[in-house]
Amino acid sequence: MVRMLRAPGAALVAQQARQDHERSFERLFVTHYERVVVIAYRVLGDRQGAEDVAQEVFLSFHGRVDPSAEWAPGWLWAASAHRALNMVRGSKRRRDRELRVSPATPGPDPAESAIAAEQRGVVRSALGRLPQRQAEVLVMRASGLSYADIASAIGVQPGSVGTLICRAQKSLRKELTRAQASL
Amino acid sequence: MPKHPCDGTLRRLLDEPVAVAVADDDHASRCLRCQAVMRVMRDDDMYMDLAPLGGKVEMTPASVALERLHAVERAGAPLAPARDQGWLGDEAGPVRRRRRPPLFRPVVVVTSALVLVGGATAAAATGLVPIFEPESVAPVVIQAGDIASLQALSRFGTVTGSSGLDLTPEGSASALASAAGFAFPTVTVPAGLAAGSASYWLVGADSAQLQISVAKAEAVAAKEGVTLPPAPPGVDGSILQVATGAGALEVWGLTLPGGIGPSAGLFGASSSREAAGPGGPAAGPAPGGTPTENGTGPAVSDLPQLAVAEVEGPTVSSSGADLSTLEGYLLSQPGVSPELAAQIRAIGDPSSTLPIPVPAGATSSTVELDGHAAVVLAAGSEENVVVWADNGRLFAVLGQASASDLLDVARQIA
Repeated sequence: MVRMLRAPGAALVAQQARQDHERSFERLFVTHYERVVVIAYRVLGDRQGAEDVAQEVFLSFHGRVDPSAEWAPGWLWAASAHRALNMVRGSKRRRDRELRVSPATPGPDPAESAIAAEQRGVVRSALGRLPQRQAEVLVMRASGLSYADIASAIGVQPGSVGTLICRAQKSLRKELTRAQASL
Repeated sequence: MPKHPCDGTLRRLLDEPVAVAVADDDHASRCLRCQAVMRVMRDDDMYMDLAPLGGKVEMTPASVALERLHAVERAGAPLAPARDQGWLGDEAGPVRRRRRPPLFRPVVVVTSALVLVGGATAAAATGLVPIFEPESVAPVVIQAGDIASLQALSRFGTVTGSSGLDLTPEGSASALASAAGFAFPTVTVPAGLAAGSASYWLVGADSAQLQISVAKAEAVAAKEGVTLPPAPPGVDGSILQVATGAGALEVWGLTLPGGIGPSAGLFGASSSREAAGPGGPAAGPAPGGTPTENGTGPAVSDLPQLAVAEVEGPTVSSSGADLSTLEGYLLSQPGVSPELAAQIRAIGDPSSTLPIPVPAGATSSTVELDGHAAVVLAAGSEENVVVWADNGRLFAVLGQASASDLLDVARQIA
């Protein structure tokens, strides 16, 4: 069957839609790139790793999610937390990352800095063992997202976020206690 | 003393006190028990000091990162990490293969509802052909809202027919073959691929018609504050008909794939499904792998261990407007992403190529399967779907197995 020529008006409309879509995406990128990096950084403690995560998040987003959607920023935030946590969960990657991070955070007292770095590594590991949503909520909160932002990212009412944070913190405390007991 | 605020409220009192009711705030300021709870919460905050907090995180400017992203997209799949670009004087490192997106969820509607019926819906919905018979398949990446927008066809006119996906259990392969009216292919399941005995299901024949009403489409759009592009001559009143013949489904390890039900008819959406499009916080896709992916198209759940399916058709016919006119009109509708429209337009022979929707987070590839072009959808190394068309019939092999294992099964049929 021979395809007939399409109506030229439709083609112009489609082209315009494509351009609008690209502009929306670029606006979204510029507006939210920093926050997406910060969320990943909060998990990884590593700027380069966080920028890698942000790039992957936007690559995954672009062409798949409507950038003008109300929930698009929340998608990005949750995706950043999710991907960064997945990196933390990979045990080998985690060990490598912790080794990389530890000497990268020098403080006035090297001994104190080393202890702090070690503690952060323990917390990261514990975070990686939490249920995904709980870990994401904690990461987003620690990254400065408001309750409304977190609610948007995970699809709940803002009034539920406090309860989720409490539960997640309790779980984290349990994991840390367990980790300490096993030392 | 009034009732204590719940822990969530106390937590918010620490984080966002202005969002908490004055009564709760007053209570907490006077209640020793609540203050003790809040102290524990504050202590817990210390755990989350995962990264150095002082100062702003130094990072590549967003404009530079955006250029880099576009460069990566232009280059294709391999992902050049940000660190390799040297913006902050870093040494160039090795290019890393892009990891499998962790946002994957197991693809399920891609089982029969999407692959065998939803695919037909997409073909029909996009007005690809006035006369259609599948001879080959091609992957089409779907985006948020695409399926919802395409399946909500009742907004374009009057939908009649379609009883929905009709699945009837059969006791054996021979009973299924007898009911379906064709010899259902038997496969030898490789060791370890599936356990237990299979269940057999007859997929009922179905047909549906859409009579396009431009006035209705414009009225629905107007309610949403959208102005539709003008309809080309011949579109108004056109009838689009989709029909599938009987099909057969053999499943190991699951009674039936999720997401299949009466609403998954040839023209897709019931009113409730139409209403489930993007629009609220929970309606977006689930980047974190949360259980639903509302608004992104197909829902997902667990794949069976293994399933083999064959269905006759779908065929599509149109009265009135020709193929290109219908295609142009439907693909230019608001809600149909330009990317999807471009992909469908790029299909070489729309009269015989069925677009197979690739859900967000899944990947697709095309392989040669004994002379047929087969699409492999992957939601992970062990969650795959293989689809191909042969002489007007569609076949699918899917399950929790590697693509290689599923292709081995598919070769027994192709």
